[in-house]
Amino acid sequence: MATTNSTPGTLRIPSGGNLVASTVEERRKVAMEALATPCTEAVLDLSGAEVVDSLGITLILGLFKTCQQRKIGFRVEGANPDLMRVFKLFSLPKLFPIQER
Amino acid sequence: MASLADESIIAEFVAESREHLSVVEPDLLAMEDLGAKVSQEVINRVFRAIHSLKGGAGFFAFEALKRLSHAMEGVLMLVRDGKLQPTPEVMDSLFTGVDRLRAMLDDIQASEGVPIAKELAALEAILGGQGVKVGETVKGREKGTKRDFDLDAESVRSALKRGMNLFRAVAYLHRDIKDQGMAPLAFLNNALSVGTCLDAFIDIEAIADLEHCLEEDLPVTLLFATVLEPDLAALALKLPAEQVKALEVKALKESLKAKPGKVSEAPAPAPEPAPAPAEPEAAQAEPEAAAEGSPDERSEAKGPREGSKDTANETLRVRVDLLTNLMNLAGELVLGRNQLVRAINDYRNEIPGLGAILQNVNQVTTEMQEGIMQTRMQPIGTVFNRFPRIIRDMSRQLSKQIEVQIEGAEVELDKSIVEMLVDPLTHIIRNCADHAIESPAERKKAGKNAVGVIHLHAYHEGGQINIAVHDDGRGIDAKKVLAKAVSKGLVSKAQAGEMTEREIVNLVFAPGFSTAEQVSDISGRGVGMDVVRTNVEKLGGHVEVETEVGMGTTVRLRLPLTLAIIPSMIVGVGEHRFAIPQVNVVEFVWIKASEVAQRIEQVQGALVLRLRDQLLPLVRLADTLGIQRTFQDPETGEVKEDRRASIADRRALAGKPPQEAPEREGDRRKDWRSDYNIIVLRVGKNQYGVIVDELFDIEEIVVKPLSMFIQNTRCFSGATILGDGRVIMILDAGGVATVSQLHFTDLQAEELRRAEEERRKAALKASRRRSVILFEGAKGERFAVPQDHVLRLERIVRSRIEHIGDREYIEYRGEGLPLVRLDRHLEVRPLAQDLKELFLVIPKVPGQDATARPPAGILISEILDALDVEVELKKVEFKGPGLLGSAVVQDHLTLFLDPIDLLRSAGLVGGAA
Repeated sequence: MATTNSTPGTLRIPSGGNLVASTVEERRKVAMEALATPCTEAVLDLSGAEVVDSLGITLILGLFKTCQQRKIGFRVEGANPDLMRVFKLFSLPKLFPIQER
Repeated sequence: MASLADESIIAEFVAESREHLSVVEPDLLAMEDLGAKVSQEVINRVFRAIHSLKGGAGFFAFEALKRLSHAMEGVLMLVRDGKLQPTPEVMDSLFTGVDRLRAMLDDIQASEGVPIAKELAALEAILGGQGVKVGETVKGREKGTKRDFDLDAESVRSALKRGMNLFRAVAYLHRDIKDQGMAPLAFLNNALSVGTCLDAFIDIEAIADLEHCLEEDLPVTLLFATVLEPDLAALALKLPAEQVKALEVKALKESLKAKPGKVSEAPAPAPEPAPAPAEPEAAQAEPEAAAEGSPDERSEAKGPREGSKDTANETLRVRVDLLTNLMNLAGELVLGRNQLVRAINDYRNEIPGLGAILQNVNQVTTEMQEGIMQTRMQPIGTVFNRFPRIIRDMSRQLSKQIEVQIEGAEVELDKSIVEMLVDPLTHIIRNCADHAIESPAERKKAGKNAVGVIHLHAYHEGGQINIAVHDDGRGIDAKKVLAKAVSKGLVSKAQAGEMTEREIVNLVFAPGFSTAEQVSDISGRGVGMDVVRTNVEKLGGHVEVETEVGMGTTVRLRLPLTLAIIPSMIVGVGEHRFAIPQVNVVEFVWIKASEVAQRIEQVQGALVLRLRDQLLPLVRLADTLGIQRTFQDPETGEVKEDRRASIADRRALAGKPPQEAPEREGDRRKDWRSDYNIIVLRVGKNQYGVIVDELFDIEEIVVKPLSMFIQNTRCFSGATILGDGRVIMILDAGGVATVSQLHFTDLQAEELRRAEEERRKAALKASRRRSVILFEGAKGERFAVPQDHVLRLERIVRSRIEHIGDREYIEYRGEGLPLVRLDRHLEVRPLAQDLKELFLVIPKVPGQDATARPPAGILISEILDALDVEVELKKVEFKGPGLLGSAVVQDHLTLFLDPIDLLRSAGLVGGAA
């Protein structure tokens, strides 16, 4: 997973594919490294993810909490309708902004 | 605590937790007994119970409860995993932990105030010794903070309007979704296929940061609406039943009224997940092992969920107050039925079909009332099962070895009775362990097994429940009891001298009595057995003790099945009516007025009825209750005051036949209205008779508690309302006996005395019974000789008598047989001279062969009879040889003779004269 700073102060973190049990640990490490870069906002890009399982959701929430601790913004972009439905049902949009694909 | 945590939900949690703990204790005892050999099933059962309790505690934010159960769970997990042996130290920590949990549950709202530091320290020391930090073992399960659902009130209203049930369901992302092979979307789709998700949120408090986030199993809490019942809802959501809680609709509606625009419902903290086959760490560390577990192990692990499916259709948790209300309504219905039947019974024949309708109403009411009563029945085992633990602790404290045996734990009693039995039985059991069971050394010295046994036995008998607590200890020493009672001033020395052993043993029930040498933590303050008797009698029961020194003691409690609706005999005294519970009624005895003098007598100043060789103490209910006695004048029909002091002192004297008692016109003894109705009542093993004026019907009565102003009236156990609307009192058979100061033991002694006298008389009678030959000497002079003293009776012709000197002979079988005339030896008249025929009584000489030559014959004038007589011989004024005495036989004075003695006197038989 590569990270880019397309907007000054914004750290984009691409999902790099599905966020499932077999990939989350690797994505977590990448995200940790990316967050070492100073920024004012982190954006998780799910445009490359079709499936997010329980661990994937946990990872997203972990990311959110870290950002919260560091007092930087966090949002999710590129969620497909199914993912959007899950996020909504779990009330995640109440925690951070989520943009549908 | 959560803002909207409904009290009823908390009450349910407390009830469930208590049930969990009641199950835990026997299993902990098994763990202690079996040590490392204890089965995994037992440990898992304990683990699940404590885990569930912890889950609920966390859910409702009872922190102290949660912390303690959490520490206990940690220790249990180590035992389960074989990392810790269930040593006495470990088990002690668990037992004391259970005690504290129970104490907290007793007043859940004050649970934070219950000190748990000591118990926690013990558990933490054990965990620390195993290199485990408290909290570490259940990492990931302790998360959750308050958060409210946030939703549109309209959607809640709509769901309720459509008859949906609302649930708070908690799904853990890992355990309940990922580990079940589902994606979150699949989980939600499944949920939405059976209902509506009104709101949901993930509790993210557990996540600290990205570094450890994947280790956390986050709970998703859903406010879920469905038409399914709770058990089915859990199944449909594929969640453990504990994680799906029904919300009380009433509270929700009230909440909606209070906040029309918005519902803030429910404490959001997630309940603990269902017990799992292994902790998360273990599951992660050994995924294959978990997956490869045997089918049995897997099914065991799924136990709770499957169990809920199996039992859900069979049982239903219902609040006790609901059942109590139903019970009261059933009582009112029974009263209504009784009144209805009474009111329209007279129209049975006039209205076609009314009889069948009444019968149907009658039957359905009875069945419904019995059914509702059944719902309140609880097995006595719920009380019995707590004693092994108590005895375990006491055994250690007292350095004794005691085994508890339980029999009949399935016997059911009304819930209220079961609850009220806890204290009395605990007192008895503690007394057994403390006083009765000897130390192992003492027992061995007495030739007993070192392990003492306390046997608890519940069984049905005669419509009552008997609970016997037997120990094989030292028994109660009546002498010691009496000495103690005298020293404490409970009885005077004079009284002590007159007490029977049974009465002495019963002194253990006297207030303030204790033979314990020292007051201990356990007993010795002398309040126990008094409390036992008081509580048991409050329940309409009875308690008695049987003991044998050196062998043991049995305390037996006799209790009614229920206190609510009981069949009772309605009796009348004067204008008053009373109900006597049928369970106390043995039989009715009707004594005709003319027979009173023969049937009723006085023993030691007390009235008794002789009933089938048994002396039954009698009580006149009017006297006991202070009601004026009355009788109906046979001539005028007027009701007058009965001033007779005693029935037995009536004009006819006791023991005299009726004809000897003087009669007069209008004699009450001949009038049926003076007949006596006696109800024989049972109190424990004893029986007594109650004299009442009238007997009415047997009715099912609804027991109403006594007003506090008359609660201490010993004669009454309650009140009820009759079919005619009249309020009457229910008699307490034991109380009436006590107030009437009946002394059963005196009567038992009297019965024994009489029985002995009867036996002696019978023996004497048997000795008096004799077979005799009745004959006449001179005209009008009658004699009798025992048949066994007579060899033969012969008729002779007077002319055949020969004389040699003064002696007379007759030829008898070719030889001369000497003859004896009675008048020559006794002061009787000679035989008439004109008799041509005479008779001979030939005596039989003892020890002589029947064919031997007889020594002589006694001349008599006539043989009258050969018969059996029962006579008491009286001394005769004159003396003579062979004269035994006289008696009246066939209305004639008869002299009884010993013929051998007579012949001996005449020198015709050898031996001393």
